[in-house]
Amino acid sequence: MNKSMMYAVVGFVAIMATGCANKAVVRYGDANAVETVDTNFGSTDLQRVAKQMANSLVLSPVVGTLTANSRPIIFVERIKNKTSEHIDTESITDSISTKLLQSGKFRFVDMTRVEAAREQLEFQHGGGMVDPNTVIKFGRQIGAQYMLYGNLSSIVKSNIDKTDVYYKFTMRLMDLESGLVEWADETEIRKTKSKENIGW
Amino acid sequence: MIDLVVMLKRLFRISLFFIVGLAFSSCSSMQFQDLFSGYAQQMKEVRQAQKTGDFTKAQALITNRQKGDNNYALSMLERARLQYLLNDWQKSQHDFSLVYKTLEEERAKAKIQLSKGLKQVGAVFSNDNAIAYEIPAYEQSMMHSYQALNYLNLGDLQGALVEIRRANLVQEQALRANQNSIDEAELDFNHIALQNTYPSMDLMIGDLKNGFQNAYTFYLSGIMYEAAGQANDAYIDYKKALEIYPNNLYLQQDVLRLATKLGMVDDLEHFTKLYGQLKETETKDIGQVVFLIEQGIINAKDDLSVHLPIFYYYDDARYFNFSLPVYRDDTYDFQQAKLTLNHIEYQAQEIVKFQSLASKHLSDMLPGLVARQAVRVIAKEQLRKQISKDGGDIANIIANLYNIASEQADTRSWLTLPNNMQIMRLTLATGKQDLSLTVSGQTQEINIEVNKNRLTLVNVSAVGGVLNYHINEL
Repeated sequence: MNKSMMYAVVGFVAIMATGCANKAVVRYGDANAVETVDTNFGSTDLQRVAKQMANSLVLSPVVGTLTANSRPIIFVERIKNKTSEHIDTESITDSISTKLLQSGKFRFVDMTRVEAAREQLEFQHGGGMVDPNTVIKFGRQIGAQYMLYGNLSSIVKSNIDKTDVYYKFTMRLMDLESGLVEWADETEIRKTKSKENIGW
Repeated sequence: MIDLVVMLKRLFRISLFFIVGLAFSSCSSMQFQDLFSGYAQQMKEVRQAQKTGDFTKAQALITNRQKGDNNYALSMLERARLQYLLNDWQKSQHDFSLVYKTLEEERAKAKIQLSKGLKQVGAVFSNDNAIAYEIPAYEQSMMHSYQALNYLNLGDLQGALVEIRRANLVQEQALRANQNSIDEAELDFNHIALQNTYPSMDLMIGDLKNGFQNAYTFYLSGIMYEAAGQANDAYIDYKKALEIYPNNLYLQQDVLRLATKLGMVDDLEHFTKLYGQLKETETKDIGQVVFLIEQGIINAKDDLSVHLPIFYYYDDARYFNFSLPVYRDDTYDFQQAKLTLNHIEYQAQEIVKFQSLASKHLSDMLPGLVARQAVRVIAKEQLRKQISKDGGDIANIIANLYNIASEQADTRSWLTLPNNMQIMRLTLATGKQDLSLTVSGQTQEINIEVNKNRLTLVNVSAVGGVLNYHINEL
């Protein structure tokens, strides 16, 4: 083995050793920037879905007549996750209900915090620590008139070259008294990822 | 004096070969012990502890591996499985999710990976353990099944269903990949010479069609879909499970029951012809109880030394010794689980035998393994020749010793899995029921609550003289 070969070997080993060390960098980024790290359900999808659904509901003519003289009370049931990813669907409904509330046309009752509210009321009544004149009475809450619910489903296909993910998000608004669905809409998202040919 | 300098120089050159070899398996992806002792050997103590039912000790004995290690995902699978056996759902869930993450990262990588190529070269000079462990489809589907049970045990049916869908995705992809590989021409290697020295695994494989479709995962999927009120999805998965295990009486009844419920007229006619009428008579206050029983521990691969002819120089066939992994015949016959309720005895039925899946998977992989091994034997022989030319007798001996010691079969596989799984499905009157369950000679009294028109799922694991059970009311 000659010298140049040995240098090549040493150089190669050195490259391999340094190749393992990566420096971590922390930066602030734009929360609304388009995120394309992978094909999984991400922040851009969440923002898009929430925006489209809230706009569609607010601008729908049927809902326009419902909200003409009053602010209907809605409760959010849940978004059923039918995909093959663990998605925090509560985060989607949170975004949608926030946008709807901000539109000023609807009012909401929050079913996720009923237990906490009950605990507080029980504390006010039973604790002996709260001034009886300011205690909030039981049975005065207002019932919801409408239920908002939906489904998120996906179709995933992949082969050696690429991955294709299709998401369909459906939402509906049901009149709890009559059982009629007053409004429905759906959004589709398609994401594909082609694999690079050569990489480390 | 001069001789010594020359010899030292030679030794330095030889050691360079090994440094390069180790560097090829870059970023310390291989632990030193992997070079000279097989995985099954390293896991011996863990398995011993698991067989005696001491899961805490078994878990502590697993070698800690860093991310990037060839066996990182595998050791995580072992740990998560033992945590599952210890009823530590949260930790088990966490470790399984780490395995899934590495799998996802692997899937996102480029089609041709330079680092993989280097590892292959590294493997040529050492053994297959220098290549990162690829988790076979049957192990992946089991990972998702356990993960689904973890979610379920933590009260998250929706999360469990996500894992079930992932498991089904794995099986679908494996099926598609299998169809593609059948179309490809088969590797050219000496079948007859191999058959003469390599023991047949046909007995263990039985009449299994492929090494990746796992009826248990389909069944679990069916149960969870039923619990979520998606009877149609459940029906499809029960049918898939029945296709793999057509003789399972419980599966037959499930398919008949759902075909009736969903009004699948053509299917019902077809299945009634095959399996007879639906036995169940609908009464009012009944509920369903499903038992999923896992039994024993899967076998480890053995290191088999075979003597095969390889065409070395043109037409000159020389015999070489090399190591191949093999499953020895599993003669131990497991008894089917039995259940007694109100003096009536019920018998469980097998839904998957992991030993068969693993054996089938190995026998499918064999042509590739032999081809790689042949390349390796020749490369090592060339290296030895070169070294002995440069370094004389001592170097020759060292090179020979290295070749013998590093000749290790790839005995890696998920070793803490059970040997087989059985199911039992009973329709019982609502209310409290006391029953006694016997698995592998152990008897356990179980009290369950049967809810009206609901499903009670009982997960039983009989591993190493310990009978554990966990009840979920779905």
